[in-house]
Amino acid sequence: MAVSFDKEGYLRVDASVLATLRLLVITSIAISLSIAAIGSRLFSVIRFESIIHEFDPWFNFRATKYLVNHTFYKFLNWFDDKTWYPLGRITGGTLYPGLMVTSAVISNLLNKLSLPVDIRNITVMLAPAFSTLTALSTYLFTYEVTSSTKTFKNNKTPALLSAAFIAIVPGYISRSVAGSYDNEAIAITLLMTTFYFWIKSVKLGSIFYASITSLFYFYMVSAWGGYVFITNMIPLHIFVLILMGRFDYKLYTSYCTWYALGTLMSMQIPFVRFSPIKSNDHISSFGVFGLLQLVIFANYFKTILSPKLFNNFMIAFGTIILSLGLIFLIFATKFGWIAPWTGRFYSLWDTNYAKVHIPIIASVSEHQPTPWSSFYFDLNYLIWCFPFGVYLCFNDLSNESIFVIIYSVLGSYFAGVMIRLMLTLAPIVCVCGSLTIGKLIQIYLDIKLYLKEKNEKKEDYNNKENITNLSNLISKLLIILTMIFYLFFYVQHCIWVNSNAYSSPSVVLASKNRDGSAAIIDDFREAYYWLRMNTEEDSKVMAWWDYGYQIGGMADRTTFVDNNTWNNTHIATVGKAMSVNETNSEIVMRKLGVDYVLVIFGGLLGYSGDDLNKFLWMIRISEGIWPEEVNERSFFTDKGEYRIDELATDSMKDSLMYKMSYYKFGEMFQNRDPVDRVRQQRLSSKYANEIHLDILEEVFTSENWLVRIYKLKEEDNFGRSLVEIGDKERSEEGKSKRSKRLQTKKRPNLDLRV
Amino acid sequence: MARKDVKGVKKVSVKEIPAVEKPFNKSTTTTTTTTTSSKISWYEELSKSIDTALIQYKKDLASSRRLRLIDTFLAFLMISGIVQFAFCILGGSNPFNTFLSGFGACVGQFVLTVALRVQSFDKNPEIAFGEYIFASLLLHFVLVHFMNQLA
Amino acid sequence: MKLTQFVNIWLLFVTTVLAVQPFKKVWENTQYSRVIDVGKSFVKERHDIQVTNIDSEPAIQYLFGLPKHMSPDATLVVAIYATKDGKRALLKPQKIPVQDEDLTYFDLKFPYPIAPGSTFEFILSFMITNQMVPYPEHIPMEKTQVIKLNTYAYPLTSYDTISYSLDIANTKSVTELNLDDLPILFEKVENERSVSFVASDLIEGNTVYDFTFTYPRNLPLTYINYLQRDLWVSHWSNTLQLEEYYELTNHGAKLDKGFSRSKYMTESIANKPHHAITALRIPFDHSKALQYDSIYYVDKVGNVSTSQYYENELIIRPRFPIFGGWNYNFTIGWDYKLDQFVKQQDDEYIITTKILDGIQDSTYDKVNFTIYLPEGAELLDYALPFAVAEPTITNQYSYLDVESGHLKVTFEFENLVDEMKNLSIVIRYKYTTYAMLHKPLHAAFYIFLALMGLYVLKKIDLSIKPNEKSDKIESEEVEIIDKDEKSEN
Repeated sequence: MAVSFDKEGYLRVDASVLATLRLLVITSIAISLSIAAIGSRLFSVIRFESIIHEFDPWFNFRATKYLVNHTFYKFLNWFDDKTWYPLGRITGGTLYPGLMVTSAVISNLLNKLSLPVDIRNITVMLAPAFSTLTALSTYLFTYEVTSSTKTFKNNKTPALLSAAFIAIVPGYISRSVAGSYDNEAIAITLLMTTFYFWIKSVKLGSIFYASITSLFYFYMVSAWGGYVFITNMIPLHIFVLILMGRFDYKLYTSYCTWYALGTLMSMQIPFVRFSPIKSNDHISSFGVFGLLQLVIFANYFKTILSPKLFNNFMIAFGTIILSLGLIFLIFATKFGWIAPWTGRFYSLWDTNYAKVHIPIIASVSEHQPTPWSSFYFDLNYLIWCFPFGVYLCFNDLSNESIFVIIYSVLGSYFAGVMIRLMLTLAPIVCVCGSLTIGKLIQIYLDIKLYLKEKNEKKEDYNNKENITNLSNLISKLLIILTMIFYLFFYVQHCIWVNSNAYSSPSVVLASKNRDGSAAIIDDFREAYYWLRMNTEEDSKVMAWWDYGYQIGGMADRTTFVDNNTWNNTHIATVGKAMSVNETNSEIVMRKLGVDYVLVIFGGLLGYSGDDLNKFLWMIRISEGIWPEEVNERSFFTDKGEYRIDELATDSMKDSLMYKMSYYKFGEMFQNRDPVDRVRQQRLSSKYANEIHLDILEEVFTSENWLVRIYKLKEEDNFGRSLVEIGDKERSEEGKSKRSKRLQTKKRPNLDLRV
Repeated sequence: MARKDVKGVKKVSVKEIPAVEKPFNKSTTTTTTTTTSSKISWYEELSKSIDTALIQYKKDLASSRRLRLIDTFLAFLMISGIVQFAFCILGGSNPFNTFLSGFGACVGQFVLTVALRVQSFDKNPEIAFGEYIFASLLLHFVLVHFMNQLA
Repeated sequence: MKLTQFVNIWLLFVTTVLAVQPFKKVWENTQYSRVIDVGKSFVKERHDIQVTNIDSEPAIQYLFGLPKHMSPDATLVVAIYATKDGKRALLKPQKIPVQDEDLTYFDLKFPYPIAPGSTFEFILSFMITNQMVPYPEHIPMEKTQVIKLNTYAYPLTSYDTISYSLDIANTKSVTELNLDDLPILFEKVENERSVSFVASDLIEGNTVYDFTFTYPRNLPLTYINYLQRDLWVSHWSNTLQLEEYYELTNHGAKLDKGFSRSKYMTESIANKPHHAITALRIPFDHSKALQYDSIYYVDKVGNVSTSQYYENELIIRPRFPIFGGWNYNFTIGWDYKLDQFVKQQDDEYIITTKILDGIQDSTYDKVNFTIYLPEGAELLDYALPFAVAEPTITNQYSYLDVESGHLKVTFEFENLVDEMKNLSIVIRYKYTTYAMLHKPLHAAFYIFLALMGLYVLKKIDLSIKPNEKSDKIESEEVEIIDKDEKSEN
């Protein structure tokens, strides 16, 4: 009998039944976590539709479609002539193919199983699907960390908690909602899996696990540029361990296997190619690799020589090696054998660097430093459980704990530098938070201990003890209830954040009708689809680079610049065309071969992310290349204000961007004064009606004026400049209007005479 | 709490250190040389220590066939790597990926073999050897793929 | 296409052609009343003809022509006559291969020979698409669109016509462009809903003249270049799934300048009849109940959230107003319960469906009608109300297909109008119970195989990799090996 009552009336359960039960419980927990993870990412699909979000995912989606429709080799050799006109982009060699290959493999697999699911749905659902895997790998990671510690030996609580936390933590969800088909969607899963196998291989000193680590590292390299984080985390871990005097052959085995295999594998990715041996991002991993060779060599001497001898030997040895290494580094950088320190690298250390030197990096909102509030917003109360979890790791300084500590420190720093790197911090916060909560549960919610005490109490009953026990119980209860409250609150907060902040596709905007019912503002797709339907297939559309991927993905038209900001000069050229006056802009646009110009204008709707608000970045970027022609200062009034009404500076009023935004804006308001609802400025009706545009013709404006599309007019047959013609027409129009007015005045007289 | 910390560390290190030294200690328990180093010069001291190490190494080699095999292989790999590197410097690095895969094969195989060497006196070297083969296959699969890729 | 049409019309206009084959004048059109209905975006013509046999022998064959450039656009050319018991009967005129520069000839066989001196009355009816041209081609957004229609002035027969009238229905004002050039005068009468022209004289046979007129029509000329109409038959779920992919163009007047949203909004063009398409209406087929929650309306960039449906029609609003010359591609679809369409007899099924769910007032240039029968079905027979080319039969690999895939039967139609939506297609196919059960059995087998494979793999996993999984067993062996080695040494 598996379950029975013994003589004393206690319930006895067979061990195998208990094991099965345990497995069942854990499986059901895993399934519920998966449901929670997927479910909380589906807000946008339910509220809107199964659609690709934001900007970069549109490129990934387009690339995936290319991969699915062509062969893998064609994909790797893909030269895209529909972007960066007229330069084109060697797309196959400048992307991380991991994401696309993943979805293509899934798609093919499903096809083989005769489930021809639309590739769009696969790409939309990829991030939620991988989030469940992230929960699993975080569970394994935490379990690996905790299982070796004294406090949590054979205790799965922290592991399960960490899986639960990561499943719904907003910091991670922000990049993995359904439709957010970005590299990060699978990269975090791979990050945690790589780390899991890494600490496992360090623990066991196993070549096998180190090889698996390098395989996942390879997958990570193929998927996200952030693989550099792993490339530096692992050597740092080893380095710290060596400094702590913890060197043993396990470190050597795992690290060298990982490094040798991982580096060679990462070089298989065309975009990475030789950077592991040339770029400075990888120098630390190489350095530690060399160091380990020396250390194992030295370690051999250590076993042979006396401590004193060894010490002197080491000093001599170390000096030589260090100086040699430094000299090599300096020379290599000087001769250009290894890449110079890149801008993004500097901006990691000096948050102000980008703003001053590379406006194009600074112009991206996700590259801004993180505000304090967003730590709480993205991690909720885990953020204050986090330090305690790190402290617990200090208490239990195993190799794995040291890894967690290093990750925490690095992750916190990077998350503070760039808002997007909050993503890499989130997993470790979940792990540390789970350690904290796990500890609390262990102390205050240990039923076994309680039962034991109760048993003992039966035997010697003491009144005094009872009181202390009672107070003890109350304090325990208090803490437990608080903790449970916070857990509930965490879930509530996460769902709230996911639903309100991170589930907007940003292609489709939600709004409300006057009666309060939900409405959808679909201007972007309206305009992109208009482009797709009603322009020549080879027409070139000029827009600010933010919209490049979307135009490529939805409108299927050639763009000049896009979100793959590889050519700053080209972007500056587009910026210049937008920020100079019509005559000069026409010259630039004709040279570029522009057919259509697309601007985003939120003034009517109150959409603050429009081009006029990004205008300063266009000016700054083009000023970096053409300081004589574009000057940021001249777009501000004497008082230093950014004005767009009648008091705006002449540069502003003349600029193409300004004119494209407000062209015919006055007509909408008929005789009232038009108001720009984003910048809260009022243009007078007379002034607004005078805004004219000669080189461009309005061909489309979306329903809420969010997107306006202009066509560059044909050159005049008689060689006159378009601006001249426009001026002439306007002056004639003015005259005819006057004469018309005279006529209408005359008419009554005529009538009287008849 | 601080005391506890130290305890933890000690405990770990006590556990771990024997494992570290095992491969080298196996047959070298008595040979640690005790020298009076204060009088002799730096250079002499250094050469002496190298000498002692060499003697010990030869002893180790003589005692194990497995070590001899591994070390010969290591020497071969090292020479092969040096030759390739020299060729790269003298004869030019083009095509670079071919050089890299050749050189990478030497370095990669070298560190894997060293990893095998340090594990070869472990509890179960068969596991280590199996893993070594797995990793080597992986390495060479990657390298063969890399060799002919145009940069 | 356009240009050649114009050239053709011009040629017709200039040359008064008497090249009609001198067919024998057997008949005389005693009364010929022709109605051109311009209420839709295509031309509907109805000719009420009374003929008298003026020959000495009974005659049965009546010949009439259509201008050659129009004839590819002519569709559903039928003749109707009243039988003796008062019912209406259909006659189908056949094209005859007569070489002629301007006209294509049709041969109409009467149901019975008409004796000399007797009369016969019938109605000739057809539709001609692609005839309406905006005039002028480019207009400002707020202006009313004017349509120019080029047709022929007199009956295109070789028989003399005694009395002839031409009605242009469903318009109030007609401006003739070339009335003065016509040899036989017309008397113009303006009615409430139509304009009539009555010929003042006898019209001799083979008098071919063009007649061009304009009239205001501020409605779009909805033209569907291509329609892919897919019907998926599923016996298991008892559904008939419909999906239609449209490539649509408005052939109406183009904008003279670019599109101005401010004007569009201030003039509130969307809320009044206009030559831009702001909504497409699809009347539902009342006889079949469709599943309302299955209706979807998407285009190439995703869902379009602006469709509405009422009890009897689906109104879809395109993403943007479609002005003249603008295109819009979209997909709509919904489900029906299959048993409304299918009749079963043993293993044979007969499915009857509509060839179109017409968008109101539209012309279809090319229609690709595809019906996907379940995997393992076999097409036996089909029937259509008009002659088409043989269907192409292929296989389409789709959801949960295990072998060859769904049976895909594709018909290609050309030149349809929305009024033909009541025509149906009948398909007879064989679908055995075995074929029906084949799929789930197959799937079950594969799942079983997968589970078995998993089980076997798990077994293998334990035996092959003792290194990682079972340290304990391994270590014993290793110790033995170690001992051996030591003894060697």
